[in-house]
Amino acid sequence: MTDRRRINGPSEGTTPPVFASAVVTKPTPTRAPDSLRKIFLKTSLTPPATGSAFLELPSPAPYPNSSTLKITASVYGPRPLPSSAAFSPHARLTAELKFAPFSTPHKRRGYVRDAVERDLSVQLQNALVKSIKTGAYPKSGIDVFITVLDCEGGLDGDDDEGVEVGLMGVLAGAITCASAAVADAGIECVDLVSGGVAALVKRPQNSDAMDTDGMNAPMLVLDPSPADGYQILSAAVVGYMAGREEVTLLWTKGSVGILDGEEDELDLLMDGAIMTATAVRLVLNEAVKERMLLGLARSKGKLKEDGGGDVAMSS
Amino acid sequence: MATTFPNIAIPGQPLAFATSYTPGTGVHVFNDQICASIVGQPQLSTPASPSRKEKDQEVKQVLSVLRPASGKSEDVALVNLLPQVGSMVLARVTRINPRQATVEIFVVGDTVSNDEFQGIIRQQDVRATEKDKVRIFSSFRPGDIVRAQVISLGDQSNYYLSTASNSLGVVVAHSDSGDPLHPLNWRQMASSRTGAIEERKVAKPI
Repeated sequence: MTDRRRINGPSEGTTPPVFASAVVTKPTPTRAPDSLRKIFLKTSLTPPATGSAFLELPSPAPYPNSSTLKITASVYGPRPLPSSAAFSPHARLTAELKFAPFSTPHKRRGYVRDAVERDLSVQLQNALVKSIKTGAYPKSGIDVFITVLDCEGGLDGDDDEGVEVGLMGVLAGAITCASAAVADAGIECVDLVSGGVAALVKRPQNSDAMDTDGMNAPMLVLDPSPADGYQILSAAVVGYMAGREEVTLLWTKGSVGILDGEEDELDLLMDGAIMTATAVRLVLNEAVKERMLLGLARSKGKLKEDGGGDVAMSS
Repeated sequence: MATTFPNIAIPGQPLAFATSYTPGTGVHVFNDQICASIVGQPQLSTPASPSRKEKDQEVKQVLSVLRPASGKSEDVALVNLLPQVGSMVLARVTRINPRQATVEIFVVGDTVSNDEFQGIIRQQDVRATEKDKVRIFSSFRPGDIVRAQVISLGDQSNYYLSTASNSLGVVVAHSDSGDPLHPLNWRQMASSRTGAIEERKVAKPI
């Protein structure tokens, strides 16, 4: 007898639908391990700020439309401290890094500052403060605000996929961008700081003749992106003042040891990161000059309409 | 000596040996080299008045790095303008009490600053003579614009200002009824409408 008052399911049951398994292909790296991505860096884009900068890194080649790294920095100051602050003969630098709610691709971020943002803010502040002549600005505050608009995918490390470098890339970009903004603000500094990332990765299996045991040594990659598809063993980010050859910040992740009893992996990582930072510095130099040259050209009245092209570097 | 400088110097860029020039503004000395501190044009200038001691020696030129005025958009005031000891400022009186007048500094030197700095003029800094007879109420009123000199960076929140000079004091003031006042002498101003006299520490008109 069938029950006419209710809607019953089919009497002999159904088979659950089986979807074709989505083939998760890990991207294969296309860049040479020692080549850097092109950098877009432009200053004076935030009108109310004393100085500002915008930095963008393109995503790796196979996914031209996937998310990139986009960071804005704005600098306010030197301006008077709130009256509650104690007297200080130096300027007080505060750096605040914030991820935009839409910055991560699949997960919305909250508005409240979380632990990651607080951690990055402190590191950024440490990286910057050594470059700024704070003694020239007594009783004043210099505020640096960084907003990460887009952070090329992952920030949450997949445990089986090795070390996660997304945050390191963000920090390196933030250092470069903030230093450009500080220079744009006309604040006196002893040098510019640029950020650089390097990583030791597992050598790809299919790379030529790597089957013998001795060739399993990790490979050094400059400027790694989480979208590159490397399996990263360890990574380092530095803040580097190329003019004084001074490291203002060092942050490493992953296991770092001695290779073959010979090379120190930490040295390798640091050298790689410094190499990256030195190359990034060239872009930084051009970017901070650009606005000034534009101003000079305008004052001389021979500014062409196509002036102010972006600064891009391929290395 | 005949060094060629880059068109635009960037922070940290070495410009010359410290022995060749005297460092001016926008530069610092590092490793016996004069390096730029800001983005700008390197410029040489001869010191205005060499001291007697230096006259015997060869006078070194001053190397500075300057930001071109048109480097930024025109509506943004030049940065780096903090009141320093000795700088002339214009300030607005915000409140007074028998011991001091609290002011907001809004012009430092010749430039309108982006932010206002709080300062105070203490009773003993109003004028140079008869300091004990100074009465703040007959020297300043809230709303007056005062030309003053910074004498100290002060405490945590205030710059200390002084008006102890003929050229310093109230430059713009309004009477109780809101009429503009004009100066009569160094201690009196008169309303332009009623002629009523009010007391101020008046700056000598230029």
